[in-house]
Amino acid sequence: MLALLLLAGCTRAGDPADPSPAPTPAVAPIPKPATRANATVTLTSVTFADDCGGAAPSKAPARAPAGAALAVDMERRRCEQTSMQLAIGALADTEIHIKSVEVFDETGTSIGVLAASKPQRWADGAAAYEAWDEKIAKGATARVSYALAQPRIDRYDSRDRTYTVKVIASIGGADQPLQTTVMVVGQPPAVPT
Amino acid sequence: MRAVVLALVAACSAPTPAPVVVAALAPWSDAWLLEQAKPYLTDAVARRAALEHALTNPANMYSRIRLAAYGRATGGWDLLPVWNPRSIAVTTAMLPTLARGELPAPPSTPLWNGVTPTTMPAWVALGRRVFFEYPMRAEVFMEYALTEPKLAAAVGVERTRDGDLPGLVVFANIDGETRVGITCAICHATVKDGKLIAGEARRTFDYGKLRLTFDQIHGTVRSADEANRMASWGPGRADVTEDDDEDPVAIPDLWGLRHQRFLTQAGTIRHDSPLALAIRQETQLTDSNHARIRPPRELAWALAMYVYSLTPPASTAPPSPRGATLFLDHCARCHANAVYGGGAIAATTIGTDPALATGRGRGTGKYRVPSLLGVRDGAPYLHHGVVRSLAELLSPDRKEPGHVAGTQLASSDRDALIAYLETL
Repeated sequence: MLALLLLAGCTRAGDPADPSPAPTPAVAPIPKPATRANATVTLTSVTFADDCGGAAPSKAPARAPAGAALAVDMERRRCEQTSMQLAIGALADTEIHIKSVEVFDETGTSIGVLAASKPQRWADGAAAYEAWDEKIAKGATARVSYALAQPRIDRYDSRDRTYTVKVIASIGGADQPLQTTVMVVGQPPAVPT
Repeated sequence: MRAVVLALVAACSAPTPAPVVVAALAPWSDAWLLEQAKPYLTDAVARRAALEHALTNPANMYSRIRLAAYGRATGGWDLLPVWNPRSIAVTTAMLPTLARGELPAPPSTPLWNGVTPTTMPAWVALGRRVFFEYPMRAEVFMEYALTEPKLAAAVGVERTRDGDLPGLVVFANIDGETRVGITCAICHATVKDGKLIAGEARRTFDYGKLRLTFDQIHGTVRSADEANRMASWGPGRADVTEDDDEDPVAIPDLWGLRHQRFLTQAGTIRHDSPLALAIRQETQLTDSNHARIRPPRELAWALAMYVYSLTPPASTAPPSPRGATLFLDHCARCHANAVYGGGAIAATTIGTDPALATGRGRGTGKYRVPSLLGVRDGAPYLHHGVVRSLAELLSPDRKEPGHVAGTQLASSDRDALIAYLETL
């Protein structure tokens, strides 16, 4: 299991408000779509961690402390899901799908395409993310989250670096590009507080 | 005596721009703090400006993360869902259930009722609930420890005589699952003789041992380097920085923060406004919950007010007039403020291990001069917790480098100085 790699940061590449002295990612900004979309979509955060996938752990624990089922469940719950969060404002009834999520290093080299799955929408009443059908009504806003596949980043080779995440969202059939610059932090054994 | 100390110039502090001061209110008074809540709660521009002002080194990773994500109004963490959790503190009555690997149901109502406090006592009361009940994150390692009582005791799970286990909660997480979580109190509250002392570092908390034990039991493969580093932390220490440098720190007490002008041992945050601490709390709770939610700002502000309210138990040590004089002569140049703390001093000047001060995670090139309130109970000493006693700290024979002040005193004077420090 890839231990936690916490990625944070939500600014667009080249944002003048970002004082980071890190090298500017050599990834060209995605041009804005010419057509007006049915919704505004903002990439609010990305967290790189594990790919939990809902599957059982790949190997049995060495010793079950209070029953094998409990041990397996704890191993499952140890997993931290890689994810991305979006904020959406709908200008018309529409559907949203994630067509691609691609990660680039500072040289502009693609280091992987991450499958997005399990769309969830924040429910204020439940104070939790709940399964979402990727539909949103005109005038509505939504805070949504997608599980992402685990990025293939060698954590011993990723310290203090920035990455660019490019997302293509399909909004009512029209593609909208999203982009964010993120930084890998919080690698074990550190315990960020 | 204190007046004399206060009159001394805080020679270790770099000058900082003045915070926004509300006219006619004394800075850092309760009334002033109440006024300061308004811009924090209602003004995104003020929050962003406060963040930028507070970060003493914008280039370190702690700063870069927040500058990229916080206070952007139309993007970043400002647009995350606001999470008001349903959480209940763990008690001894729950332990049999938890030991079976079962979790009691969280409460049906959220931590906060949505009413914004208007008085300082009300803010502090709400902040106390945040301190003990707002989950920093789900913590499977601690959930496991609660099934193994010996392990729990060995890693610093403490119980009050009233049956509370401070710092542990059962809560409904943001995916709707019931989990065990940890709160601020797991590190910054302790139990002595069955009595809760909120604000004192839990120097029995051995997080490295907890994680390594979990890994061993569950067959998780960890590199020898990682395992050795976590094993080296020991009780009361952990590496909390964002980088991969080896720079564990001692869990600090939270005494006297209202008077301290820098936060974190490396002085990462300039603290000349309460917005600095509130933003510190807000971003900490966001970051530790994997940036999938943010807390209500009212709760972050309440937490800051609660932290400001914390005071150490009163000392029962007898006065030491000779020690007080020695303190003025040898310590008060840096430990100069009302809580016997001070500004920030260059790591090269103080001479202690520079790893934290120069680290990419939170480094500023400096170390904060800590408050000495309750220092009698503050061992081990120095920012990284490597000196076992005040006697060792002041000993000319100490092996650990740095902080030479006091080590040149005669033995009888060192004893007198220690006697004075025990009164603080």
